[in-house]
Amino acid sequence: MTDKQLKQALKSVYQPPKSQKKNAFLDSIEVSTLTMPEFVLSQFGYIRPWGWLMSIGVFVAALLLMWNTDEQCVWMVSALIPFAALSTFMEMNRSVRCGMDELEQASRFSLKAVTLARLGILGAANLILMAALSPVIGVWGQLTILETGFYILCPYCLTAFCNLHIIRKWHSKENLYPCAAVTMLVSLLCIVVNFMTDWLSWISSWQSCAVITPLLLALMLRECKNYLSHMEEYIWN
Amino acid sequence: MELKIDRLTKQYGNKIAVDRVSLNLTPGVTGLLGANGAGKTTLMRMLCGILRPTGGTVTLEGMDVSTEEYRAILGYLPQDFGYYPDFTGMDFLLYLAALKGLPKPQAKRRAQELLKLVSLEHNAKQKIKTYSGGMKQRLGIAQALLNHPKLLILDEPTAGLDPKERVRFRNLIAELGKDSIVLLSTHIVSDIEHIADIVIMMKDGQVIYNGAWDEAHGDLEEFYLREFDEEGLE
Repeated sequence: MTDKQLKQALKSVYQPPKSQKKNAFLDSIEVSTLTMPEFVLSQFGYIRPWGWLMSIGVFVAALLLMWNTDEQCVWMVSALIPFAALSTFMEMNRSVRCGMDELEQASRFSLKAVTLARLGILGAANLILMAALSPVIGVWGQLTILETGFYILCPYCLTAFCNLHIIRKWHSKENLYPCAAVTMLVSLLCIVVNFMTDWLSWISSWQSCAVITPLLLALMLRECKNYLSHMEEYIWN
Repeated sequence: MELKIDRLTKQYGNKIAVDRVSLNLTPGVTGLLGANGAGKTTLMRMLCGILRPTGGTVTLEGMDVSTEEYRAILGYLPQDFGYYPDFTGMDFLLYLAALKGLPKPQAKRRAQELLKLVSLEHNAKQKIKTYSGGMKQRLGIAQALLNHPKLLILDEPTAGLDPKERVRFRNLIAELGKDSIVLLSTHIVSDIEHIADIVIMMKDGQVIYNGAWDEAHGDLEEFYLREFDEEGLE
């Protein structure tokens, strides 16, 4: 028997001994774990392409609309913005809709962290897109910064507040439908207000802008805080 | 290592789902028995930090249930769990591994190891929606073991498994109980009889029996049936 054959024969008959105190050994090894920023980054990959496409689609449609119509159509852009908010909050509520909430809640990075990460990522993306859209609206519609902010932020915050309230009060897999209905109502409201010239002149005044926009923003943030702080109580059969 | 449960209570309006439960759990398998509505799932959910108790505390080695450190060493299999529709078995495990704080290379290695353990290695790239009930349950068991948990809470782990698989998983749970605290809730009394070192029985939110069960106590199934009305059982 040659050396090579001998080695092969030994390899084929060799049986490794059963591991002893494997768990104790594994426990003694310092294992690296994900940090919070790494976890947030990992969540990018778990946001559905549909969520991204919906937000980008809304802003592309808004740009196309402004390109092809006159300056009076700024309200049509406002009517599109609620759909960007809807896609964000539906993504945030996906864990509940898919029944993953209980597993996520019991993990090291809990459901609260998952929700905040997704909300942060999509919210930041929406903010960037709105910030990019804002000067275009300002120039095209010959509006001040305050008015532009109002036209964009008002429908966004109103939709976000309503959707969060529905998600918080109606803890069910079917809450997509009332959220979509409310979003459409806000969108419709933006169009209707356009035809009410008296309302338009009042709403567009800087005094009303200064009151309504921060108020809606505060309401949205309050709903968000309430939703996150009572998360444990929502999971119950 | 000891899990200390001190006067844990959960109240929903007028209904007390868990009533001042105090227990000390040590490494080994603890079987939790009780009829439907006895408060087993509520107790388990509170032990996992999913439900906020009305009163009482839960601590493991001084760590409170609400802390990240506690959840980092917890493995949990709920009675029912969902999944994102586009997930494959491997995606599911990698996603939960990220939530448990495992870096990607380590997560991948552990997921492959666990898929092999639950005999799903050939279905890893298959969408979960195509899995049978038993396969989903095995995937659920795999995710609970991702982070080598020191505290493992299993709510009906063998439900939906065929008899052969049930025995295999029963043995696996017994093996895990050598190093970890395993709390196992089931309606299958024989599973508890075979592997549980300690038996806890719950009725109307209270613990009515807590201790080891040996032959001197008689037949556990008979005791169980005597204590709980048969109509209350599944």
